[in-house]
Amino acid sequence: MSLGDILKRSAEDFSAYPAIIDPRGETLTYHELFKLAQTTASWLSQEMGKNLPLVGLCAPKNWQSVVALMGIQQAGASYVPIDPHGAIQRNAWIIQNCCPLAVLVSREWAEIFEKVLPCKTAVLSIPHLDLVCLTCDWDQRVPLIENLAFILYTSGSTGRPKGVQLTHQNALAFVHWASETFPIEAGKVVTSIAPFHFDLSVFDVYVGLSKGGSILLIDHAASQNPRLLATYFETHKVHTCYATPSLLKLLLRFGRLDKFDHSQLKQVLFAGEVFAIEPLKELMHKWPRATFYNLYGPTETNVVTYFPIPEEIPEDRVTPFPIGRMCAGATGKLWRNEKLSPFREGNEGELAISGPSVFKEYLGSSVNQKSPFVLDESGNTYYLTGDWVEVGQRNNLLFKDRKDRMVKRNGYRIELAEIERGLLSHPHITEAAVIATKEASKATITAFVNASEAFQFDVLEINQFLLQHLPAYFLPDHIQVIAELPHTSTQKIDYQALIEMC
Amino acid sequence: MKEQIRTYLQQTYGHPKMEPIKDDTPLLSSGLVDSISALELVEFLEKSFGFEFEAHEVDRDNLDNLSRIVAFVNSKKQ
Repeated sequence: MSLGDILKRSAEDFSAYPAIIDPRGETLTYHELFKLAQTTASWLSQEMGKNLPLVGLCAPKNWQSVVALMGIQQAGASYVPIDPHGAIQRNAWIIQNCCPLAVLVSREWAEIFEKVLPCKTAVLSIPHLDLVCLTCDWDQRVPLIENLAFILYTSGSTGRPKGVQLTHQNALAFVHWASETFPIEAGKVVTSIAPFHFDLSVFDVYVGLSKGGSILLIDHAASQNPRLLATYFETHKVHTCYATPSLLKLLLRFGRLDKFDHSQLKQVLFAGEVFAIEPLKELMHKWPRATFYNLYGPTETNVVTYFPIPEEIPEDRVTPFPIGRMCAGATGKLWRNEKLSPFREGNEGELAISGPSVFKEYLGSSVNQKSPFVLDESGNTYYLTGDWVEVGQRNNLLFKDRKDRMVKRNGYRIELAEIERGLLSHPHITEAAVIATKEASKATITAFVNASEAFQFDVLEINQFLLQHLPAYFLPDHIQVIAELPHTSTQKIDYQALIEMC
Repeated sequence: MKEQIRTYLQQTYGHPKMEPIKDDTPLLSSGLVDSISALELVEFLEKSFGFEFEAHEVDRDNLDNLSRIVAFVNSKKQ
């Protein structure tokens, strides 16, 4: 079975049910969505030839981009979703990294990519879609893993994004588990808040589609407008919602939830970061009919642990809830002192994951890079998550901290090295070091830079420069110019000394 | 009204290493005002000038610089 079979099957089973609800555009039934996807698929095969390996998509989130993704899939190709609100340089780098032969893009992105990439507009009109098809010429193409379904790019510790290759089997393992665990009936409305390049969207799209759910598409602007979101939840009778705690906290604080009828909302899933107890309690109070779940898993594994939040939270509870127990099918161990050990209550270590949803390798990974995998005694492969956990009661895992320099913002991964690389590409910045300090689980990012003497430092100018290279959520909270960055005795940047300066 | 909003913007988002906020200084699209701060700005405007944003009006187009904010507040107060 492949991921594309989900839509094919649902188009038979749930033909007349709404599949996609685009509040600013069309509503498509399963029948209509499947027909449109097939039209796109045959158009793609006709124009680009059969056996198309990988197709990119960089377009605003709406019903058309869903048709495009489904069409690529029905054509038998893999896809790579690219952030339409991302930075030009970063998006161009991603495309060069994965070398798709075709990229479906909005007209704005077509103009930009034609300037910076070996890509040109092949065909202006794709049937029914207001998208442009770019074709690209690559001297050499990077090999893709077998049975690849899609590539999701995440922040990389080398300062460059890394492409996580997920196979049909990886994605289907997650979809099966999630559709068994979270009941959704045909016609029930499931939100799609996360953008398609973010792994949370795999739940929205594929779990939603597999059960005949109606997927409510929330675009970038709406996702930053809690009042509008709260309105949509009422108008469209949202039943299941999967989002980051950051977004749910925004809804709580700015969404005026008391004014709306959200009584249809039955399941609230959150993931991507820690949800502090106080706002979680308040939100549960506003949505008393919903069951809440904490989900955990990096892009590389999708969800591998989960924890159902109890209906009543004790008054005196202050510590956040666990990330929970392993999902069916996944196995976890602790990695500590270069050894894997089974969970035992009270023990701590880096969480290592094995299972059918775990990816096999990054795109273009070379033998020189440190492998993120280790083997247990029986030869099973475990992915090292970089997340430090403690084993609690009944094998419920408690998230403690990150092992490295990765921080989370709005659920997005940010490798500080990516910000450093962005700053260093500024013509006047000679040295850059970025650190994160944490207070009440909120990370503050501070950049220290050393600039050439002639440079008139202006925060706005630096921000605008960085926005060419990085998406907005990467921007540091503070930028400080210092005459000299502190170094350790081995001539490495002394990050500890910088943290103490904050 | 314009100067009152300018003062708020300057005090909340201004930076010593930056020119004072002008009528056309981009606020949201420059990253100076992030998405949460934009919502706080909406609350400030509602409280200070006694009107309400409709849900769809909480939008970058109405908030991205001082001129646009003033034009929007004026249109709401009429």
